Amino acid sequence: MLLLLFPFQFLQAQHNGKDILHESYTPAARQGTILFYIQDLQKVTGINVSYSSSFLHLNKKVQLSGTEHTTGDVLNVILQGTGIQVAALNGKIFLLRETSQVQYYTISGFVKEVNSNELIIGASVYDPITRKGTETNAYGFYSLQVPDTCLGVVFSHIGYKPVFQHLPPPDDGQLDIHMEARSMLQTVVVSGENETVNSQPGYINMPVGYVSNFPALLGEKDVLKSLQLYPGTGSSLESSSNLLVRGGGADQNLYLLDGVPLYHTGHLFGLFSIFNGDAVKDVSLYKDAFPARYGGRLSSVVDIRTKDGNMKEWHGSATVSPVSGSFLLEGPVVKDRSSVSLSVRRSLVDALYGRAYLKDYGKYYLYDVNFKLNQVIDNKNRIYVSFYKGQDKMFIRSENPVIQLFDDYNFDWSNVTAAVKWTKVVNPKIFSSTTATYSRFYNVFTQNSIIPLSFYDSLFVRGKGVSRIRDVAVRNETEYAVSNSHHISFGGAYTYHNFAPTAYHNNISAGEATQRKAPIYYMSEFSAYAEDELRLLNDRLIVRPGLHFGALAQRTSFYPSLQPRLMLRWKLPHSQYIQASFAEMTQFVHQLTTPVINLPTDLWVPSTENIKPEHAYSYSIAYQRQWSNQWRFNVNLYYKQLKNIVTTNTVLNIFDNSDLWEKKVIAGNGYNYGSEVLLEKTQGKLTGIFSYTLSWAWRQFDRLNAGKMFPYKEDRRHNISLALKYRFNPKWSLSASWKFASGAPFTLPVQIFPDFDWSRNIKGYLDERYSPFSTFQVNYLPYISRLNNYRLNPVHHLDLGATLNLGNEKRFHHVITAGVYNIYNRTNPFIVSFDQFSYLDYSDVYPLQLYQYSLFRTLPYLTYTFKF
Amino acid sequence: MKYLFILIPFLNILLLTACEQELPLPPNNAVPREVVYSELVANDIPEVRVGKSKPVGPGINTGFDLVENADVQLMDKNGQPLEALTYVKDSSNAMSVYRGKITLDAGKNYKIRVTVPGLKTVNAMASIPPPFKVELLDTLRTLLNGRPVLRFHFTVNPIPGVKQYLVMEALKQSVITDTTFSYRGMRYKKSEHDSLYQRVKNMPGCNPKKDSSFLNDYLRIPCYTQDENADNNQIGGLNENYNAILFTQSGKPLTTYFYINATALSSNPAEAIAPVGRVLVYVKSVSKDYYDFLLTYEKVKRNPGLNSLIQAIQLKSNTQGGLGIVGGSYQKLYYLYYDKL
Repeated sequence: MLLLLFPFQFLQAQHNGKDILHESYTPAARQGTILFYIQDLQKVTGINVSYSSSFLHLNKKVQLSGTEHTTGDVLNVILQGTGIQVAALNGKIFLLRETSQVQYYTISGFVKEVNSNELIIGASVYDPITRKGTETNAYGFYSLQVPDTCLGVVFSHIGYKPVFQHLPPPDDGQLDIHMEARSMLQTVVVSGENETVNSQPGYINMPVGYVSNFPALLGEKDVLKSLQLYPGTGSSLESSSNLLVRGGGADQNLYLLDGVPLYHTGHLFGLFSIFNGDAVKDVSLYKDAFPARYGGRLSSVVDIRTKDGNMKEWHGSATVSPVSGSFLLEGPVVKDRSSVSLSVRRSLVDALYGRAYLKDYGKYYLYDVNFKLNQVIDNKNRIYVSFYKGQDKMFIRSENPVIQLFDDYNFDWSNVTAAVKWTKVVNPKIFSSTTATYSRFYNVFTQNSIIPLSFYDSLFVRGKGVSRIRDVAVRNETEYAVSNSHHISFGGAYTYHNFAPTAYHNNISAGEATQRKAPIYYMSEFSAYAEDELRLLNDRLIVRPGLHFGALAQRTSFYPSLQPRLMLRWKLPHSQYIQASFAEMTQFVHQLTTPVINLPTDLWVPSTENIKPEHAYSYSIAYQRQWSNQWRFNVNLYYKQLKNIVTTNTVLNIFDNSDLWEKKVIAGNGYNYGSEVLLEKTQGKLTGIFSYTLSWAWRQFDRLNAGKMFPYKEDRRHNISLALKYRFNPKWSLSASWKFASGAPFTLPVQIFPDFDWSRNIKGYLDERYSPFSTFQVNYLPYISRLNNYRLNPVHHLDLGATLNLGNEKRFHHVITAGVYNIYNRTNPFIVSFDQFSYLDYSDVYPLQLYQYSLFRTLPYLTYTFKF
Repeated sequence: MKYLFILIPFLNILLLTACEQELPLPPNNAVPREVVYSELVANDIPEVRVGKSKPVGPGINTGFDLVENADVQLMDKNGQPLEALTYVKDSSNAMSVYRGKITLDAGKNYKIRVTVPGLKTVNAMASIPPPFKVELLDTLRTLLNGRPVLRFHFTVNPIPGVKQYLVMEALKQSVITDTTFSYRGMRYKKSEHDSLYQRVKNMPGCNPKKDSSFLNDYLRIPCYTQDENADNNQIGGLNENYNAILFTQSGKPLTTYFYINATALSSNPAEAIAPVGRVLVYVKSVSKDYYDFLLTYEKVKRNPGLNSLIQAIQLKSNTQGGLGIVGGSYQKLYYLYYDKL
């Protein structure tokens, strides 16, 4: 059959078989079908005739004149007008379609999971012979042009059994494909098949099954921590979900939850991300070669899609651990027409241990609610409605057994997002999605303080601060598959921002103090993009130029930004390719304060007439190779230049309306560069990842460090991740992960010298800035020759985990996971302080040293999940 | 306004849960440096404080040695020696003090050279600003964000063509009040010879006299501003307290309210929050280097320690070869007496 694909001209050049076309043959009848004559010819002459039924209408009736007496004459007459030519080779007759006659048609549709109709993102759709193809987009839609000679296409995806679909399709309608999930344990086996189509070294697409592959702190599945296993990613602190990509800050990542931008992604100082592993369907991380549709952040894009809900039947799961509980419920409202998915997660520390152990310290809990409604209008139109709310509530008691605080504090921060999305298959080649979104981050802080004015008089302060961001946006994205080698995408968006970074009021009579209104910023952000993906030189070269336009408009300023993007990929033999990319990214919003730990009080502020947008120019070159769909290796070099990045040269007091943040912001430059290596085994009983990153991240501000470059606080020279999973049998699997990160930079004074006031016998105990009526005054000042001149201890830990699956094939099944975090009890630095962190020694002269505070030692975990 | 560093409660939570480990400081090959502090005040005699820094390394503590063998030279702007300052032995001083005799002039540049055997010589230059005119229009006891404060209404006139760096601050200087008396031709202090005083106080010739001595001991009085033109805006909020209120004045008169915490104005024996003494309120025009140092010094004072979560602040300095600051100042000083001396 392969011969049928050969160019017709090739066979015509073969002369040795011409005689068989002149062999004598007179058909038995002058009327019949094409099939009749072919079979008759074979029977009478004994000559084998090869043909493809896919382009030959065998039942077509034909009429002979009666003058045909050779095999060639008969075949030429019966095939007249079909575009089929007759050729002879090696004693056989071939019926071939002329090359110029090959016709293409478009197949398109959605790829879904068979049992739930859940749309599958990133499934590969390709011709297994030519290996040309495409992949499903974020809504499970594909569009592929196939020649009418193509016998079928393959649909494959991580975690699903591949499907071979015969072509041509049974009818002219949409070709929706249903894929069957691999068994639960198989979902952890990363299939390499789809990588032949869509993998990039600077792009990680992770199905949710992957998240639970490896041991996790307290057994909490965390998508952002799972991403940290890959090269070029890291975290600020041990086991923080604060994702850092290629030397960028946590604020430089664009987090999209079902397309809605999020500003604060951490629960509990960022120890856990707000993305509930139960609700998430798919996570994509772009580190370079950013598609033109993305904009607004400098370092990366984290695009998270939640589950659409099962369209066939109701399913659910419930998970409990000693610290949290969660459940997921999904099912059809109307079978095959609409579905809902609801997942809820809540910490249980307050409920289980609050009364017994924690009441003296305060109270803390968090919860997340994810909801999604998926409504099929018809086979071309679909509506999604999604909602998320995440909340942290914390109360800190001033009188506690460990540290006497001066105040009671309440922190209460939440994210709310909502989106309505309409996807439309305009025609088999054009797919469009239109989204209206709402996003809100709200942080309320209250404080009850008693400030002594004298021994007999004090001031009771009840203060409340609010920090808020509100976005309303509408966005359209359209994809146009001109041909298999030419894809165009374009779209635009409008976002209305409403930022109120700080608003504080209290019960105190201001007296002469000026009552300052909290600043509120109203802004309009516009964006538009266009991207063209071309496959040239028989698909060996992929060129993807793109242009993203963004603009931020305020009453007093307007910042337009044209951001070119370019990706080039050159395919080499043996599943190898090299890729180069360039992207300019612009960020209109900035995060101030100290985001080393992910505090809800991190202050998001817009570009203003005084603060310009930040820019990044990133270049990367990569090489990738795969072996037998089991092993993947890639190496990546990157260089990123950052311009107008902002920082503050002092700590901001965000709950003071008079603390004018614009006065404290300074702008500078950054330079990040490094290399990444990834070796991944994706199939078999043993799977795993090894990643290594060698990187540098520098910052330069004219008003810091005498204008000289200094290591960025997130600079880590080496990052290593090794994660392995071994599946013994369908029930049992063991996993282990070891992570290593070089020590974080820290500014250590080179010398200390007498304090200016202390040297003049001036006491400062009335200073309220640190603590009121402190009787302890530090008598020295630090001499700092260079910022971030010292490295803290490296962070590393080995974690082990085991998973037991029970009742896999039954209606109800159970998953028990257990493990140990930091098995060798390493004390990793969480905070390091020079001198006493809180004053324990009040002597005039006391020794100075470093105090390292570690949060996690060896920590076991156990979770139980019930699924139905 | 109480200072609401949001980090502090968070850090405290971490401390509640974290375990602490003391780590040795890394070895350091740095050598100690001279530390020189001086505010050269117009119409006053020069005074220089000399100390020695400590390289941060294993075994370091917070004790500082006095430097009693320094050679401190005051020179004019061309480097011509004006006088050698002499060491003032005073056990109450935290740093070694060297004092001169000549009176410093406004509008002049001076150089200081400090040489300590075994340490690198320090050179610094400071210009004393020209005289400027400041008017105290009125004072008022009032409330600022719930706190009792004393408000000063100042107007500082500009000097044409000169950028002035203004500093306003307040201290309370401790005083000791004692009674001296005579006995057999000798004067004694009651505080030291109370029993003798009790025996002779009614005798003729005792001649008791109360006397107040101002001590080399000060309390910094927190000060405030609500003026958005204050450079404290670069440091923190306007509801916070500061060591000093800082203004850059160029060409225009500056009229502003300067507030100081009234808690410390008078001393209540029952509370003893503030010592008995007098209040000194300064309005200074200072040299640029000194002003920059004070700005960064405020930031250091505002930072809650040196730790890995917070960006460290680098202090400005103009002492070549060493550490510290040598600044010039023309100042107007107001004395306020609230305590009964």
